[in-house]
Parts: sequence; C-alpha cells; structure tokens
Amino acid sequence: MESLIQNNPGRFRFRRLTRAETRQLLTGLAFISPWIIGFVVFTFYPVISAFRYSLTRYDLIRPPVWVGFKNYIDLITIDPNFPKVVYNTFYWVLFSVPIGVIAAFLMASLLNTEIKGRSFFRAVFFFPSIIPAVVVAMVWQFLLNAQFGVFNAALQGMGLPTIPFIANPDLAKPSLILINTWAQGSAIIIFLAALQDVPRSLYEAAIVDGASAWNRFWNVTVPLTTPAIMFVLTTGFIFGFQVFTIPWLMTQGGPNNATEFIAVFLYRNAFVNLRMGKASALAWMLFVVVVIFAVSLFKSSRYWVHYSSDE
Amino acid sequence: MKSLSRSMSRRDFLRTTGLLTGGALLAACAPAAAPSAAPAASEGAAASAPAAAEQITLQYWVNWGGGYGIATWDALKASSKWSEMMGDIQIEVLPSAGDEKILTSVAAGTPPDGASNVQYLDFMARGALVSIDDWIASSDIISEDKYLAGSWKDGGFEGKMYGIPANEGFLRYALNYNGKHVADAGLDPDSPPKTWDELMDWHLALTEFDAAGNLIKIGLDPYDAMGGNLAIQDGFYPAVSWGFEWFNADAGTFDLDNEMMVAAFETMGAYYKQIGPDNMAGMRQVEGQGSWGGSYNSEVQSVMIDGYWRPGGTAINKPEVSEHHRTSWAPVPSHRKDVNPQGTGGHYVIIYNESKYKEEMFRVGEFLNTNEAMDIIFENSGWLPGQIDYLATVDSNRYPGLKFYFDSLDTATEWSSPARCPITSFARSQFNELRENQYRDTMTAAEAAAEFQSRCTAEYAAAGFA
Amino acid sequence: MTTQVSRSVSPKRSVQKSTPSFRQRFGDWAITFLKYGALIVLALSFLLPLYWMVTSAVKNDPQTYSIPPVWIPIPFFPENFVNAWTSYNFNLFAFNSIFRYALPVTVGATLSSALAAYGFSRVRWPGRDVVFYLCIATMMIPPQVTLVPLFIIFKDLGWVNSYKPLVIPAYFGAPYFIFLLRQFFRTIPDELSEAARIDGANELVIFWQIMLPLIRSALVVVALFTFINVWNEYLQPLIYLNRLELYPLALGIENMRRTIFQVGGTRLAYPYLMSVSTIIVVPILILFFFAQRTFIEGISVTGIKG
Repeated sequence: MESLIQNNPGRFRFRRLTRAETRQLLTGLAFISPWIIGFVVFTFYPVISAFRYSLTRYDLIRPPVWVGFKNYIDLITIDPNFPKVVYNTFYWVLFSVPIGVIAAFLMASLLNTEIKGRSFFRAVFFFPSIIPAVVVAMVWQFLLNAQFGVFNAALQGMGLPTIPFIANPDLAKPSLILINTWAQGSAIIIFLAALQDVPRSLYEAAIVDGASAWNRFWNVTVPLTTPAIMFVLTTGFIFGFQVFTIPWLMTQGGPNNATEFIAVFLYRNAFVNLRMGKASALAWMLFVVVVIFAVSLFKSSRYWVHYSSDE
Repeated sequence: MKSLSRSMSRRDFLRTTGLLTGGALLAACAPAAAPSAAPAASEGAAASAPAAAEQITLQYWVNWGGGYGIATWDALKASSKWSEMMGDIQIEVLPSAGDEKILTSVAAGTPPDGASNVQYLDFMARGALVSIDDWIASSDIISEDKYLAGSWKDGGFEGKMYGIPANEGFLRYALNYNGKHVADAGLDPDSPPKTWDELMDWHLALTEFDAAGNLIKIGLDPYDAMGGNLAIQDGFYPAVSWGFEWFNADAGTFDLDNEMMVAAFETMGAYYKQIGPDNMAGMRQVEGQGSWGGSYNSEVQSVMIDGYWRPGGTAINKPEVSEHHRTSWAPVPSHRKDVNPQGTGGHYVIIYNESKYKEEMFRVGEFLNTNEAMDIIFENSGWLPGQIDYLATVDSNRYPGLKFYFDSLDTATEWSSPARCPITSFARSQFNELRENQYRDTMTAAEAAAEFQSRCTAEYAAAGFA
Repeated sequence: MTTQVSRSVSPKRSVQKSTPSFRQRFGDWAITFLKYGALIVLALSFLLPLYWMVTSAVKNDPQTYSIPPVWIPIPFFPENFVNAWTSYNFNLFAFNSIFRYALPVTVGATLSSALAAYGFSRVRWPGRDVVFYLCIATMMIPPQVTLVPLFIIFKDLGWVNSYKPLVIPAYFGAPYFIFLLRQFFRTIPDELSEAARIDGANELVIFWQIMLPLIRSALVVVALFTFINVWNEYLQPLIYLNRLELYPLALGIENMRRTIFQVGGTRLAYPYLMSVSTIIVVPILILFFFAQRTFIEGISVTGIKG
C-alpha cells in the first residue's frame, strides 16, 4: 500500500488519497478523537507550560522571570546534587525494571501451570500491588526496621548482625528494589493474560515434536508473549524513571540522598525550595532521556516482538 | 460464521453514545448534585459583601494535623465567642493541607482565605500577602503592646505587618528531659547539664544499646525538634547556642562560614556519630517514634531541645511520661557557659492578596486572640500565644516542666528571634542535607559550613533579593 | 519484519501415551515438588507484609513496639478497627472513593482507551504510528511539573474543589491503557477484520461486536487496574479538593498519617493506621476475586484456536 508521503530523500510529495484511504483516515481519527481532544486540552498546554517554566525562575508566588537556558546549564555544570540524582535514577531503572519484569514473568509462568489452589496463589501474588503507597511505606518501614522488624529479628535469632535496610545509604536502593519486585502484581496479571492466549495446540504440537519443557518455554511461550513483555518493559522504564511516591514517603530521598531520584529531587525543588523553573528543566531533561529509551525499545522491538496482525 | 448487520442498528448506536455520555454526565453532575456542593469561596462570585443574604464560608488551611484542625476547631466553632464575633459566617478548616497544595493554589490565584503553619516569610517577602496595618489600627483586640516583642515583630516584613499572631507564640528553647530515665541512669535530675560537653556525658549514660548492638534508647538527638529546625516561626538553634547572627536582613548577607557554625556541626554531629547515623535513621523510621516528641513520648528518647509546647503536648498524650518531665536551659558551648538563651517565635494567620474574604479572615484572627479561644487552644493542644496579659493568667504549673519557660522570661540573658530570611525554606532543606553529610563523614564540618554559605548566598541573589 | 507464527497447525493428533518410566515419573514428581515449593515460599514471603499489616491492626502499643516482634498478638484488640474507622469520617471517604471517583473513572478510562487503542491498531491511516508515539510520549513527563499549569486550566474552567478535574480527563483516554489495549488488539489476526469488512460491517460495529469481546480479558484488566490506581491515588485529590468531606479513602489515610505524625506518640497510632489500611484493601480483594474468573479462566482472545 503506497504511503501518503513518498519517501524520496529530501522531497516530500503528497498525493491525493483514494476514497478508501480517506475513509480509513477519517475512521482512525474518529476513534482517537476523544484522545485528541484530551491531549490538546489536558496535556499539550501543561507540557508546553512546563517547558516555558523551565526557561524561567519561578517560585510559584511571583510571576516567572525569564532566564533562558540557565536552569539547564546550572544543573549540568554547578548543581551539587545533580550527578548523584542522575546516578540514583539510572541505578534504579537499570536494576529494578529488568529484575521486576523477569520476576513477574517467572511468577506468571508458575501461576499458569496446573496447580491446585491456583486462584489463591494468584490472589496472593497480586495483593501487594493493590495496597496504597502510603500503607506500603508504613508497613515496610516497620518490617525492615533494625529494632522492630521481623527480618532483623530473624537474623538476630540466627546470631547474625542486623541489616539497616533503608537506614543505610548503600542498602537503601536495593531495599527499595526488593519492595518494588514484591509489588509487581500488575505485571504478573498482564503476563498471565498474555500467557493464557498462547494456544494450547502449539504446546501439544511441540510436545509431539519432542520439545522439552525448557524448549517449549523458550520457543513457544516467550515469543508469543513478546507483545506483553514489550509493554511491561516499556512502561516499566517509563515509570521507573519517574519513581517518586515510595521514596518520598519512606525515605524522603535519604538517607544521605541515596534515594533522591529525579522525580523526588524535582518535587523538592518545586515545592520546598521554590524553584519550579529548575524542577521543570529537570522534568524536560528526564523526558528527553525517557523518549530516547522508549524509541530505542520500540525500534528494537522489530527484532524480537512477534505480532499476529500486520496492521 | 455469524452474519453481521450491515450497519449499526439505531439501538446499538444509541446504546454506545448513551453509555459514554452517561458516564461523562455522571462524572460532571454527581459531585455538584451532592449535598456538599462547592463552597462559595471557589466560585467566581462577586467580592465579599457584608449583606446578610450571602452565606460566607471561609477557607482556612493549616499544615497542622487533625488534632488542631478538627478537634480544636470543633470546640472553637461551637464556642459562644465564635457566634458572638462571627455571626453566621462559617469556616472550613483544612488540616494537613500541605505546601504543595497551598503553593499550587497561590500560583493559580485561588489561595484560601487564611493560612497558618506555612512558610510565612517566604510569602511575605514575595508580596503575596495583604498587609494588615489598617485593620490593626482599628482593632480593639490586636495591638503591638499586647504581645511579646519577638512574637509581634515576626509577623511583619520591612515595616509592614502581614501576620496576625495567633494560635501559638510563646517561647522556643529549653532542654526537655525525662527525669526518671536520668535517675535510672545514675545521674541527678536536679543538676541538668548546661553545656554541650556536660550534655554529652548525660547522653552517653542515657543512650542504650542491646546485646546485639541495636539502639534501644536515644539519649539526646540534638537535631530533633527545635534543636535542628530552621524555620521562620522557630529560628535556628545552632546560631542561638553559639551566639551569632546567621542572616542579616538589613544587609542581606549570610554568615554561615565561620568557626561557630563549624563548631556547631561538629558538636551536634558528634551525637549522631556516637549513636550511629544508621541507628538514628532506623529509629526514626518507625511510626510513633518520629521527631518532635514522638520518640520522647514513646520513651525511646530521654532528652530533646524543644519549645514550651512539649510539656503540654506530652501531658495530653502521655500523662505517664509527663509525670517525670523536666526542663532546663538549652545547651550552649562551654565558653558561653553563663549565657541563658531563650527565643521567641510563633505562628500567624496570613491572608493572601487574592483571598476572597480578607476582612472576615482578619476577624477570625481577632477571634483566635480572645481569652475564650486561647483557653480552648490551651486545653486541647497545650499551645500558648505570645499575649502578655493572657500568659499572666496561665497556671504555669499546669503541666510539669512548663514553669521553666515562664521563669525564663525573667532569667534569660540572651534573647533571639528568627532571622528574617526570605529563602528560609531553601536554607532549611540545605541545612538538613549538609548536616547529614557531616555526620555521615562525606563532608567535613568546615566544608559543610562553607557549602552552606555559598549555596544560601547564591540562591538569595538568584531569587532576586540581593 | 514480523515473523508470523503459524496458527493453522496440523490437526490434533492424539498423543501416544506410553507407560512412563520410573525416571520420568521421578522427574515429574521432582518438578511438581519444586513448583509447589517455590510457590509456597514465594506466597509466604508475599503474604508476610500483609500478615504484618493485619496483625498490627489488632495490637496495642506495647505489642507494636516490642522487641522481639510479636507474631501473634494475644490478647488482640479487634475494636481497633471500629475505633480507627470512626476516628475520621471514613464512611464518607469510602462513598467518595467508590461512587465519585473510582467508578466514573473506571468506566471512562476503559471505554475511551479501548476506542483510541482500536484506532491506533486496527485501522490503517497515514501518520498513525507517529501519533501513537506522541500518545505514549505524554506518559513520559513527570506529573509533578504539569501539576501547576493543569491546576490553572481547571481553575479557569471552575472545576477546582470538585471531582471534575479527577474524573473527566479519564474520559479522554489514558495512554497507559491505550498502549496496553493496542498490544492486545494487535494479537488478533487481520483476517478477522477483513472478513467482517467484506461482510459490509462498519468499523464501529466491528469494534463493538467483534473486537471488544475478543479482548475481554484485557478490558477487565484495564478496568481492574484503573480502579486500583484510583483507589490508591492521594496526590491529585489533595491538590484539587478543599474540603475534608470530599476526600477519598487514600487521602483520608494520608491525612490521618500526617496528623498522627504531627502529634507524636499518639496512642495506638500504628494500630489505627494499619486498621484503616486493612479495611480499605478489602473491597479490592473482592473485586479481584470476581474479576479473576473473567480474565484468567481460559478465555480465548483470538477467534481462531487449534
């Protein structure tokens, strides 16, 4: 099907659409029309505003003052916390997302097998993700505590030294990753739904062909669930970069800025330090990074994601 | 294969659109139709009119929790003084509003009618507030001579008054300790330490670890409550204790890179290093053992530097701890051993330029300064205003430990009040970060002080105040 | 180039069942043992925080702060549930959460996202994928910076201090769910749409009568997730609601937590917080049990199975 825009390098030529193509275009636009309206009203303006703020010094009380790209330049060159914040965020994303996705996939696979009490186990694995962040913070603070927490009580019972999970700067991020992996319920559900869609007949054919369990897993299950994996991975990265609520509530970015991620740092700058301009600049830098990540993922998806439809 | 209709039947079409619009209508209409409709304050109505026809409901947002916002205000609203002064004006007090909410509303031009326990000076210095001098001039209840000098002064900025002193405004600094813990540790509760060195001896005796090396009880956390706070209503204790002016409002300069600030970091940080920063952080991460009295009331902390409200707060929440509550002078460095430091501070009701019902809110401020209201507040939360006459009527023996603060009015030798710094909120977040760097040994005290100075100076200039 | 996994497989042949050898039987048994072992260990560790939450709810203060921790509180205090729930107007908060917030948002988000996902996946139109990337891109801006400009928009519309800013935008598609549903739509082979089109059905009919039922499991997932997210959301309501009576549950808990944290050493602070927390996850559990059956028990998504 010829595309509307001819791919001549440097030259775009439009040709008129056929009646069928026009109808397709209008149909497509009609379906996404609610989204378009919402985008224009609720997203476009705020996002552009955020960019505008990033070029100003804005304390939310007085009108914004133009400073050009100073916020961006200062962040990169002289801000004492920026390097740490960036390191924290990349650390988080590069560890928590893959670990979370793999763990969720394995658990979903486990749940997809013939087991007694399947409903019960599914509920158990899903529960953590329905608990509000406020509660998660309170419960885990207690659990991980050196004095009152059960983990450390168990360690002490075995004669081992206690571990100051979230009170220690070096252990704080791994502890949060642990909590994050515990709360992968939604990813498990998505994978479960996708696993359910793999036709049984394929497994049977594979068995007939003499494939082992691992073979079936790797050559039937995984390829057919790649759309779901793609989704969970992409959204995992997107939201991983924006991690905010749990570190804000549990550790307040500490100890010693160990959990000061970009969104946490941004929030502090916006509403505590009265530097909304700087916060907006941080947000836009984050945006660019996430876009690059997402585009790379999408481009790579061509090589490993299998869709059934070509549409 | 199932045959499909060629076009969507009218019924189907109606069903689909009906569902979507129904949902949207549900969303749009349901909240409005509900009994609690949006209050008058949020509609773009005309300016407040004193006419009896319009029901006025004031919006008062505070960063205090439900203890004040709900419990105390239920009593305040029900008092006869309220109806006498305010008629049928209603007020909605929103507790724990949060700075993000207040700042967002201010940025959008829809602030509440009044606010308290916010970053007062940050608003004053940026011209967001209504100056109340005219109303004060014609008020019978609010006038300068009625208040402690420090409490009054802090409600103003560059010669104009912006905040009605209200809710709370008495003295800020004393060493608060649990006499029983002290006695049990073999120390004499009647001879409290005066200097930081003496206090360290107490701290070492009072801090307890278990056999496995876990922290069981904190002796002193010097950065807890008033010791480590940096706020416009509370001041900055290191500067008080070491006796230097950390910010000069007239010159607009900071003096943080000096040997006193370095000594403060080192001295106060030493307590953290002795306990172990991880231990201290871990202790605080448990609900109910937080700072500002949580751990003190839970008896996992023996000593804290806090304001006059501590005796009342502890008595109301934990009478069994209050029994042993003792107070004395907040610590000073050895070379200033004879200094008895005390400070004023306090809270205000501030009114924004874009608040809807400004005069009515001022009247609420006046209401909060009547004896009836002050009684209710003292009963419910143990807070006292900076009003001299009222303070004279208070039974200072009401709560164990309270008397010391009253006595210090006469016996203090050095008085302080919070520095008028327009970037207080920023300075505070930097102080929190830098002191942690110091006691976790990622920075020396000298570096921390220098960094503190440079960051504040840079921010002050960049924020357009230089 | 996507590789088509062939779906039209050879007709089912009955698998020859030979008597399993001892080795095979042992292997099967070992796998089963490992499987259940892993499941139980995982389940226990997943349940631990929940167990802690529920037992903490019925403790008193000495039990809460005891070293070593109290696993089974005896005596326990179930009255904590009632006392904590009534200490604030949680019934009203629950009503707000369900009827003013979660339900309207769930209905809106699911439907509008499905519509948009369909348009992005099953209709071919020029520029479609670019616009889709734009849609995804909107997820990549941290919401903290759009908080203020968005608030200004809603203030100008006069929607502040109501649920409108929280609910109405849900009727215009949520990128996360558009993305998810698009992925599921794309697993449906073209042939199905083509056949329907040849039959003369218009796109809306195909959407409503064929495609939506086919991804029913994904729709239930979307509805469930939306409900849960809304149930647990507290920052947006904090910004837009000015009256305690309007507060949803999650914000009610946050308010309670801030209050308790302020006062310091309130009696039964932690048990009360845990009591309320336990109560508010219960409806979600119920919802999950109902939803579970729909999207998990062998619903076929594609119209063609071997």
